[in-house]
Amino acid sequence: MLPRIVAKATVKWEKKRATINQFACEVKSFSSQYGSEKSLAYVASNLAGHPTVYPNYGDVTHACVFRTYGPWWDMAPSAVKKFSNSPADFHGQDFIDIGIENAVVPQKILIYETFHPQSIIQIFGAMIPYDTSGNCGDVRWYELWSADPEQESRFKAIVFEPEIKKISVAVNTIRLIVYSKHLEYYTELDAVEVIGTIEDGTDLDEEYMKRLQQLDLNKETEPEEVEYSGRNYFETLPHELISLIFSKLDFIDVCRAARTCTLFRDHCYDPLLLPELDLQPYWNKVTTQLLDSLRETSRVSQLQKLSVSWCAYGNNIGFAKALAKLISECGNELQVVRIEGCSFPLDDTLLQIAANCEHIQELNLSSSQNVNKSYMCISHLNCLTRLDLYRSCIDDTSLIEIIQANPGLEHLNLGNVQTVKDFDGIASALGKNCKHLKSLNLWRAKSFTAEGLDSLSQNCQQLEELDLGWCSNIQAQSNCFVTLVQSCQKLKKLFLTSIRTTRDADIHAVASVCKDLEQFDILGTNCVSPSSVQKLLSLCGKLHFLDVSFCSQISDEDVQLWRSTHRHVNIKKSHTT
Amino acid sequence: MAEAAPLDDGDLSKKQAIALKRIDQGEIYKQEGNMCYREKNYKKAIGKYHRALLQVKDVDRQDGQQMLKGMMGGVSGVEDRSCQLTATMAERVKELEMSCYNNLAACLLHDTNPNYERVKEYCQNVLKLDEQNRKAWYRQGVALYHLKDYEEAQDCLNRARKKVPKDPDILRYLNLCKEALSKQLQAEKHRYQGMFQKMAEGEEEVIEMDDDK
Amino acid sequence: MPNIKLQSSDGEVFDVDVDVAKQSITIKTMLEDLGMDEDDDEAIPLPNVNSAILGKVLEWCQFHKDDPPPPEDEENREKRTDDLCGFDIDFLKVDQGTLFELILAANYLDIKGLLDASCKTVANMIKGKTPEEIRKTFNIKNDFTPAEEEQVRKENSWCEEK
Repeated sequence: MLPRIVAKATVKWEKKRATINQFACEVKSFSSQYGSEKSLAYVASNLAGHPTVYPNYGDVTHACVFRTYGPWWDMAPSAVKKFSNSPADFHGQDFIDIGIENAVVPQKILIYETFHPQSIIQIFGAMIPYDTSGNCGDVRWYELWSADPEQESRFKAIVFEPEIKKISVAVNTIRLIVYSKHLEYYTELDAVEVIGTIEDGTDLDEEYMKRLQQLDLNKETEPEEVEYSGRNYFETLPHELISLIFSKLDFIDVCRAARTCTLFRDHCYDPLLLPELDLQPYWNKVTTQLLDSLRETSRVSQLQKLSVSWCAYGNNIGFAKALAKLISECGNELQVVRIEGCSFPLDDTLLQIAANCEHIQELNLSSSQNVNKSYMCISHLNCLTRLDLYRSCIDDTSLIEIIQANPGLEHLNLGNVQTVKDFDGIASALGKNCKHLKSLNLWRAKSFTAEGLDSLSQNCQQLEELDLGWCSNIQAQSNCFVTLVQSCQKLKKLFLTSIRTTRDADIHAVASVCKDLEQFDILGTNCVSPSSVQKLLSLCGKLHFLDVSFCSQISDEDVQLWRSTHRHVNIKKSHTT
Repeated sequence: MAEAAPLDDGDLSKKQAIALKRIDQGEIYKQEGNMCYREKNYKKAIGKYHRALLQVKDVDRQDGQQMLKGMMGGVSGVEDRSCQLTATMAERVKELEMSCYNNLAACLLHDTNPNYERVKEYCQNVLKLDEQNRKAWYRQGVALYHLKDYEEAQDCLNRARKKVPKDPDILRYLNLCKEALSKQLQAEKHRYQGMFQKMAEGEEEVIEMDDDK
Repeated sequence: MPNIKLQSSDGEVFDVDVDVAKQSITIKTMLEDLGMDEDDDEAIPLPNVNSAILGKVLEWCQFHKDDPPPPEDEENREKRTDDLCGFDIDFLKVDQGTLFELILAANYLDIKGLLDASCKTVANMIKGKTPEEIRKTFNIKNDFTPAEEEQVRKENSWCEEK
C-alpha cells in the first residue's frame, strides 16, 4: 500500500550485542492526515525515512501532518461529546505507527519535530509479525513513555528525546500518541529515529540480567490469603449506594474490583453499570478475550454507546469476529458506535449493526478502511443523525442509498473520501433528503463543484458548518459562495481552505450576512485583499478563529495590526521555513 | 474498637428493636398529625407527617452502629445485609408512608396558594406503593387540573371514580376539566380562524402549527 | 436569620441556620411545605443519624451553604473523581467507619453534594488497586470458590499488568 522506504541502519557491535541506529522504514497506520490519500503533501507517510525538513522550522509539504489541532474542532457545531464515563485522563487525539526494518530492544527514541512541536504524549512499542496480510492476533503493546501535555513553549525545530522505559523485548513497531489541542497551529513531524540493541547468542550481559530481575520484581504478586480483622463497611450500604460508588470508577478499575469478592463481582457485572463503554483509552490492553467475556457475562446487555476506536492492531480477524458477535447479542439498544482508526475487517460488524441496531443514531468509521462491500448495509439504518466516514472507502451508490434512508442526518463527514467519484451527486442527494443537515465535511472532495454547492444552498439551509477545504474545482466566479451564505444564514464555521478562486466579493458577502460566523479559513487565496478581511473582522462580531495563511495579498503586518485591534479573534498566519 | 463478635440472633433482634421503636414513634407522629388536621391546624399537621416519615425512612437499612462490629462478609448473595424487617413491620412502614403522603397532599391543598407540583409528587409517592389508591388519584387529578394539564387530570379522576362512580367531588372536578378543555378548543379555533382570514385577505403568512406565542 | 432544630438519634439537638439545613433536600422540602412559619420550635428528630455524624454533616453544609445548586442534568456531567475541592478532600480524610456513615447520612438527608463527594472518595480508594489491595483496604473477605475466582480472573485478565 505505502511505499517501503528502506532507510539505512547503522550497526555497532560490542561483545555479543549490536546497537542499531535506524530511521522508520514505513508508516503502518495512522488516525488522520491533512493531505490527500494519494498525495505526498502533508501526509502521514512523510514520517518514514531520514529527516528532510530538520533543522528547518516551518509549514512544509514534505512533513507528516495530522488533520486537526487546537481547540477549534471542539468548538465547532460538529463537535462530539466523550462518553459520560470516559476516563478523564485519556488525552490521545491521533496516533501514528512506524515500522523499523530491524527489531530491537529500544534504548532511545528520537522524534524530529519541525513545526509547533510538543505534541507527543505517549510512546508505545510492539513486536508485530511482518506478514500482516494474514491473520494478526492480539498485539502486546509496551508503554515506553508517557507524560501529560505541556504548555507550548518552543517555536523551533527540535529533536524530542524522552527518557524511555527499559524493556527486555525487541520491537519492530513504534506507536506515537499525539495531542495538539494546546498548540497554536498544526504540529508537523519529520522523522523518527530508533536506537536499540539486539542480542546474539544466549550469553546475556550483566546489565541486561539486572534489568530482567528488575522486571520480575514488578510483576503482580499475590500474597497468601490473610484474614483481615476490622470491618467491611460495604456491608452497611444498600444496593443503590454501592452502585453509585461503582459508577464513579473507570472501566479498568471496575474490572479489577470484580475480582475482589462476589458482592463486588455482582455489582461490576450489573449491565446497568455500563450503559456506555469507551474502550479507546484502553486500546493498548483491549483483547479479543475481553469482548467475548463482556458478551458471555451479559455485562453490556443494556449498552447504548460503544467505542472500540484504536483497538486491535492490523488484520485481527479474531477481534473482528468477537466484535460482530458482541453486537449481534448485546447491541439492540446501541445508539452510538465508534470504530475509528481500526484496521480489522468490518464487514461482519456492519452487517450486525444493520441487523440489530435499529435505534442507532451515530456511527463513526473514521479512518477504518477494511470494508469489503458492506457499506451498503448501513442503508438499512434509518435513524442516523451523525455519520463519520472520514478516509473511508465508501462508493457513491452506497452513500446515496444511506443518505436516502436517513433523512434525519445532521452531521456528515466525508473528508478525504477518495472512492466517491461524483460529489455533486452526493450533494444533490443530500439536498433532496437531508434538510436538517447541520455540518458537512467535504475536505478534499475534488469532484465537488459550484453545481453541488448550489444544491446545498438551495436545500440545506440549516447548515451551521461547512468544510470545503481543498475542493479546488469550485469556481467562485459562479457566485456560488455568495448564494451559499445568503441561503445558509446559520453558518458558524466555513472553511474555504486553498480554494484559490475565492474573491473579495465572496468575503464581502460573508461579512454582510454571516452574523453567527465563528470560524473562517481562507488559507491560500490569491484574490482576497486586506480590506475585505478588515470588513469581515468588523462585521462578524462572533468570529474567534481566522486562518489567512499563505494568502498572497495579506502581509504579516496586516495580521499584526488585526491581532491588536481584534483581540478576540485568533488569527493564524503560517509560513514555510 | 471491640473485638469481632459473631453474628447471632441476639444482634439481629437488637436492630429490630430499634426499628420497631422508630415505627411506633412514626405512628405516634401520624396520629398527632391527624389530630392537628381535624383541628384545621394544617401547618402543624404537615410538621407531624414529615417527622413521621423521617422515622421510617431507611429504617430497613439502619446500621447497627457499634453493635455489629466484626460482621465480615461471610454470607454471599445477601442483598440487604443490615436489619431485616419482619413482614408485619414492613407492612406497617408501607401503610404509614401511604397515609402520610396522602395527608400531606390533603394539607397542601388547604393552603391559600397550594404547591400543586408538590401535591402531585406526594400523590405519586402513594401510587408507587399502592396504584389503586383512590384518594391519591383524586388529589393528583385536582393538582393536574390546577396545573392546567386537563387531559391527564381527567385520566386520574376517572381512575379515582372506579369504585365510587357517583362521588360528587370527583364529578365536580371532571366537569371543571371538561369546561376548561372546551374553552381551550374554542380559543384555538379562534386563532386559526384569524389566520385563515388573513390568508384569504392575501397576506402572506406561514402557518406554523406549533406556534406557541 | 431563622433557625431550625435538628435532633440526632442519640438525643442531641443542633440549632442550625435554615440556609445551612436547606442543603438537605429532605429538610428543604419540609420547610417549603411549612411555608415561612416557624415550626413552633419543636425539634426535628433524625433517627438515622447519630450526633457525631450529624455534626460532621452540618459542618459540611455550613461550608457549602453558598454553593450554586448542583446541575440537574445527569448526562452532561462529566464523571470525574479528581475534582473534589480542597475542603472536601480534607473533610473526608476520616476513618472508614465515619466515611461510610457520611454516605448513609447524605443519602438519608438527600444532600447530593456530600453524597457525591463521599462516594467519589471511596471510589478513589478503589482506583488503581489490585483485587488483593482492595480487599486489604476494606477488610473484604475473598468469598469466591477456586473455580469462581479463576473464572472472574480470566474474564478480566485484560487489565492485568503483564
